[in-house]
Amino acid sequence: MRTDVLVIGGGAAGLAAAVSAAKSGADVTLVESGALGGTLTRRIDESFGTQTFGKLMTGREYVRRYTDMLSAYPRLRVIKGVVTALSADKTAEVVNPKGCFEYKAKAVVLATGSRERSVGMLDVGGTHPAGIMTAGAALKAMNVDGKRIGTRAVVLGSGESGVIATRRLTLEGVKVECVTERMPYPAVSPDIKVYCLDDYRIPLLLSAEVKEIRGDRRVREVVLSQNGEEKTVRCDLLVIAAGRMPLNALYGFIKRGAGGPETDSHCMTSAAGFFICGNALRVRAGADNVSEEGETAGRYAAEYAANGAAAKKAFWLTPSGNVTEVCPRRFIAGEGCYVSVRTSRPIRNGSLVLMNDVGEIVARIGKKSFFPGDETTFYLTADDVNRNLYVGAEECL
Amino acid sequence: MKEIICAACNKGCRLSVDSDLYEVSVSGNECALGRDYAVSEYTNPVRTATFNVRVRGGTAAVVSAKTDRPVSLAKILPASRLLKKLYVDAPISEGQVLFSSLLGEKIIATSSVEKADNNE
Repeated sequence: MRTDVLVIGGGAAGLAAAVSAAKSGADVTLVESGALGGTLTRRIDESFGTQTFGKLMTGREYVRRYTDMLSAYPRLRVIKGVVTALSADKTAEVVNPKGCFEYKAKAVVLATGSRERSVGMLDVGGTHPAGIMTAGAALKAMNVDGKRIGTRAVVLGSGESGVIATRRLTLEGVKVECVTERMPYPAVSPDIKVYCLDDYRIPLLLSAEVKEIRGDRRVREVVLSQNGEEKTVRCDLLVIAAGRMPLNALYGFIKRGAGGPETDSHCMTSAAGFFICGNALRVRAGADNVSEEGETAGRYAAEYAANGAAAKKAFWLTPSGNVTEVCPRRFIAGEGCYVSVRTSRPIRNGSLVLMNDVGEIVARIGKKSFFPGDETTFYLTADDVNRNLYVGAEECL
Repeated sequence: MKEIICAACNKGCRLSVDSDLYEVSVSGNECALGRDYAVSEYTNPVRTATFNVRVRGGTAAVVSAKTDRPVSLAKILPASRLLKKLYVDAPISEGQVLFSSLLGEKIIATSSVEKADNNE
């Protein structure tokens, strides 16, 4: 079957990409293996929508807004199935209970999201009995399946998914003994930490690690170490919130840099006609940011499907100093765009610093706070970027 | 005295709040929003709370719900404990009022649940 834009993945990024590609007049096929909305369907907390819809809403309500939009476009089809093969000529093999189908697309949007790190990827000793689950699995069990998953819990990791799971566990009647964080600072922005941990007086142990899990058939206790001191905590549930990894390793024909695929400000990868957005590109904070990126990817995918590649000059943005991540890496000349950066340590009231290749500062932009667990976005105008630049961050006094 | 990181915007100002018998004083704020936030956090923090409510006879075991306005933080844990003992009947549509006065607060559904087919 032929289609203009094939969107793989129907989470926050894929939904936005499909809607915006359809809005641009393209014939769109969206492939999703599970429920539309992806991980948002398990988020019943009200922390979405302020950017996209101007109103705070729950993850479910946010998804509903998008699924309602889908039906407005007759040339947008949603296919339930799994993409089992994708080749560089934009042919995808989709498998579902009805059979195996081949789709030939003019542009492809990869919106495959991310996967959580499991306990096996961490350096945790001891037995691995029942009672260990990732934060996402815990949220799904409670919010989608309505299961009670334990009585006393320890949460490993203070990132957003960790603290959100902690609050949900608490409200579901599970006592969370503590949240551990490997780093000396919380991996989540201060307001979310207040709403999820401080509100319920849940201790956050910084510079702490889970050393060992004990128990035969079910978790009985875990051994924590903090600043060289060891401590045993009785619990029957260990929730792993050790971050997520983008699911993008399968596309061999897309060139990857150190931090994954490198995109331009249209979300296009090194392979012409392949766009990537959302958590599949890099782990993002907040569905609103993901939707915004999906919208960009969808719009330019539709444009590519209609007109083919437009040769435009682009400049490279390279992270340097305490900036660990800049996205997008290629800035298309003559167009402004949002860039998001992450830093290796918290900076209060910092600005983004643009440097040329000999280290001279070309411009300082904005004044915002950086937290390692959260990305900070800046708008760069076409005048800011007229050559290859290095991006750093510094504290302003 | 209490140290609060302001969440009225994303600047992240460090506020300190103190009170005597007559008034609450705030320092470290850069704007009026920060003052209001600190006073509210110090005296009576409010949050919109979200819950899962058990469903009887539906296609899903639980329905997600929230309070219809920000409620006092002190009410949230008691409300969640109460909700563990209650259930609602399917079908439920998004926005439906599940409980009109749970500890004085309205609880509304944030998702829909269809009635389960008994033949299946």
